[in-house]
Amino acid sequence: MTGRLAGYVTWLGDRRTVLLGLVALVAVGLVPSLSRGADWLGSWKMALDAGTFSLTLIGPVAAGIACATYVRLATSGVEPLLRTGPRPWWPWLRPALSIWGLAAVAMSAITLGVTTSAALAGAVPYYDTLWVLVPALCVLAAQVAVGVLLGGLGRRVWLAPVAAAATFSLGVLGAIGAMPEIFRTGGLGVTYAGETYDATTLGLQTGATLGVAAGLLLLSNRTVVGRTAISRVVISLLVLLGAVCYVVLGNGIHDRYRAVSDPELVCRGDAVRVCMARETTRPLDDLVERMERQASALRELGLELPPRYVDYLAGSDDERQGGVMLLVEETLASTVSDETAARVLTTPAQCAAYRSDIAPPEASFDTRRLLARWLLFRAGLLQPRVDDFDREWLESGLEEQRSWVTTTYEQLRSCDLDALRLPAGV
Amino acid sequence: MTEVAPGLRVSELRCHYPPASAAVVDIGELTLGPGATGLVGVNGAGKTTLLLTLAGARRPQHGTVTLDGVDLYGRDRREIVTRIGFMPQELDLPRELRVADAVSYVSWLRGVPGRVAATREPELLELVGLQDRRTDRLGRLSGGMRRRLVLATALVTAPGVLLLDEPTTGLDPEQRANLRALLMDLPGATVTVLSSHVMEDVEQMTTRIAVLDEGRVLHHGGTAAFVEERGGPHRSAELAFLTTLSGARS
Amino acid sequence: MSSRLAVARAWGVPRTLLLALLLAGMAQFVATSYVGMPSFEAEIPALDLVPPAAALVLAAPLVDQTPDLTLRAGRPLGQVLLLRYVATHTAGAIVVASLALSGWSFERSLVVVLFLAGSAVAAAGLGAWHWVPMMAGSYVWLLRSQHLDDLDDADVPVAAAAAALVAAGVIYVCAGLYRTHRTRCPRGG
Repeated sequence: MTGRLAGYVTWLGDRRTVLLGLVALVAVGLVPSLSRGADWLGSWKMALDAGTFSLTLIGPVAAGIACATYVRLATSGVEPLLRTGPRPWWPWLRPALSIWGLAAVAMSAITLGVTTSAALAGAVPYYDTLWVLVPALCVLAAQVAVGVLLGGLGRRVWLAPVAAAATFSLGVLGAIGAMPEIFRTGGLGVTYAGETYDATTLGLQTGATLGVAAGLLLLSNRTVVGRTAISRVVISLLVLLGAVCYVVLGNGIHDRYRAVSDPELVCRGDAVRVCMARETTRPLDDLVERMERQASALRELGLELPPRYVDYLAGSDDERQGGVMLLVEETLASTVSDETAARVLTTPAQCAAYRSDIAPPEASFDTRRLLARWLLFRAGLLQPRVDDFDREWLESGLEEQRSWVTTTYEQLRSCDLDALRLPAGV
Repeated sequence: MTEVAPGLRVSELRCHYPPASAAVVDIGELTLGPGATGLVGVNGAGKTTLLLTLAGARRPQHGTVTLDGVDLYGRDRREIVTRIGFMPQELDLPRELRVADAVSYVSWLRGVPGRVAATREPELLELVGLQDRRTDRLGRLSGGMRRRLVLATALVTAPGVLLLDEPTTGLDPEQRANLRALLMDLPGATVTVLSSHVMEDVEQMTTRIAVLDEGRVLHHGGTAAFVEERGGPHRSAELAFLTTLSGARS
Repeated sequence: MSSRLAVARAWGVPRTLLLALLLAGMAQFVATSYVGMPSFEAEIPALDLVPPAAALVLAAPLVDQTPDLTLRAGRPLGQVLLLRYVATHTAGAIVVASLALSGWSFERSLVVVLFLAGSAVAAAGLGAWHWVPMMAGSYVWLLRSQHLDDLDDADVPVAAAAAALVAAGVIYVCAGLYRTHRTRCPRGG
């Protein structure tokens, strides 16, 4: 360890203690990051989100460590010495900076781990979205500052877990709407397909958290932190900026992400062309393969497939192309089921009714379900059980089925959903 | 039956801090009998380790420590350590605790019966001059007051042996003089061991002296004679100490 | 009496009891509320936050703030450690009672005993840093509580709570004895 670095970590303990602290921070940070499983393997942006979400616990634990450290600093008797220095705020804030740095390394390590895993699993990286780490690091600064405040003013060793609990509570208060969600990082559970982070919202969050951090650090020891004119000016400006950002965030709706005007697509397959959002192409090859296998039944009947099936994305509503409407977990998985592939084949047009607030006719669900089962049966992927209501029709032979399948498929292609009917006897 | 000499006696004592194997204390024989003995040495000489060992707080890796012939780390450890009062360099108590509670708590932890402790607490605080500070929180005490409180907590069991670890370090001259006067007038303790690198304290407060360097005893004898013989024409305790040290090192 | 009070103050027992009363009061106040947690799919009963909070803020008496004095204790150390453990669970009992009065079954309220037992085990291993693993454990508990459709799933059998209480107590006391023995008698003899 270089002398300079050693100086930063003096108040944290020896090298072994610092390393143990880092391991502990990574371990607790992994809990929220992995709390939803590893679904983020299917989306790099989601993995990035899962990485920053580790602050849900890293932040409170860092606040607890900061509290314990500042209790030690405040009761060590060095304070009168600090006041005599030319920059008294620097030695006071240095432990906070060290703890923030340690926690930042832990969060970055987790983020690096999950995003790399996602990339290796086939998710396309979006390095240009890495800037969201900046607001996350500012949130961390505010969280650490909570611990500094409680330790510096409270000067009681038992306050460390209280600081951790209080910092965690700030996240809860944001989640229930008691205050703007300035302590929130990641964990939204969306795939970010066709979407990106909203710079305005996250910019406001950055300003607000910086203001909170500056204010709390000043309150932790006003005589030392606010001793020089320059520190007073810098802190005043940050607090003012934070207050403005906080007020703006508290008024109106501020989503953390927004739709991309022209989302990028990745297309695969020749016989059946399927396009998914570039963010979530993990199951694409498998989907194409399964769809191609089942689509032959439609071709045998002379039915024309849409030029391509396109992932449902904001702004993509061309009725001439088929729709890929997958559940979030299907979008993120590496493979899809044959049932999913059949369901996509029964969506040969992106009908507006599928996305309307008014649900499509009830019969459309039943007909699409039966058509999907027919596709599976024809591909040899479905063996109807004895008590299956559809069994008789499914085993009735192609000539019996041709008319209903052809008509239904054309009605689905033309989005004539009201005309959809189940075959007689089903 | 062999008569056992009163006081603390160490024999073939060796202490080290694992994983390091170098001895921090390495003493063949040392008897600290009735009266006050000064334990002097430079920083890192092994004074605090020796005192902790003598206080029953740190068993040596090798050798024995006895008080009046009873092994300090034997079966009767709990009973025998109550006969030893130890005044550490730092106050090991929560800052939010009040002065009277601090004395009462240490009394309880040291096994003093409640009724005895209740009587002794005001007496001890009066002895160290903190009777008006009973309800003050420890965090509000000055350095000198904290030292006096630590002394009071060392005396809760009315020990026959009193070990003082650099009691005046960090105090201003007035506080040092006051504490020194207090220590010299202490009633009760028959064996006192004073660890210090302030030679003036040792010279004034002790009748015997043990010079420690790198864990070994370089000299053990009367303080006055030590200064007389090695202190040069001005009978300087500092010079006596330095002469002993340089003689051993050369 | 005064020496017992001094012991309680030195261990932070009055403060811990006060915090327990605060938590108990809060439990009554939020008994019927639900709260959303960051990233949770469903809102959880606010009462579910109480046991983790108890584990974090009521465990202070378990931490020895005077380790040097403990080394020279004349009182049996096992007794000292047991009293610390009892003090913590006494504070916990206040929270258990409040939860049981606020709509939870008594069995469900016993989860506080499990949390405090967890804190004791963590304190046995990590001392003053006991709250770090408890933070992670609390998060997992909250995560699980959002999926508890059947309230009976959350009940803790009295026998299980008693077993946890005893087992954690044994671990806490034995670990404390071992740690003190190791400090007093370092290896290498």
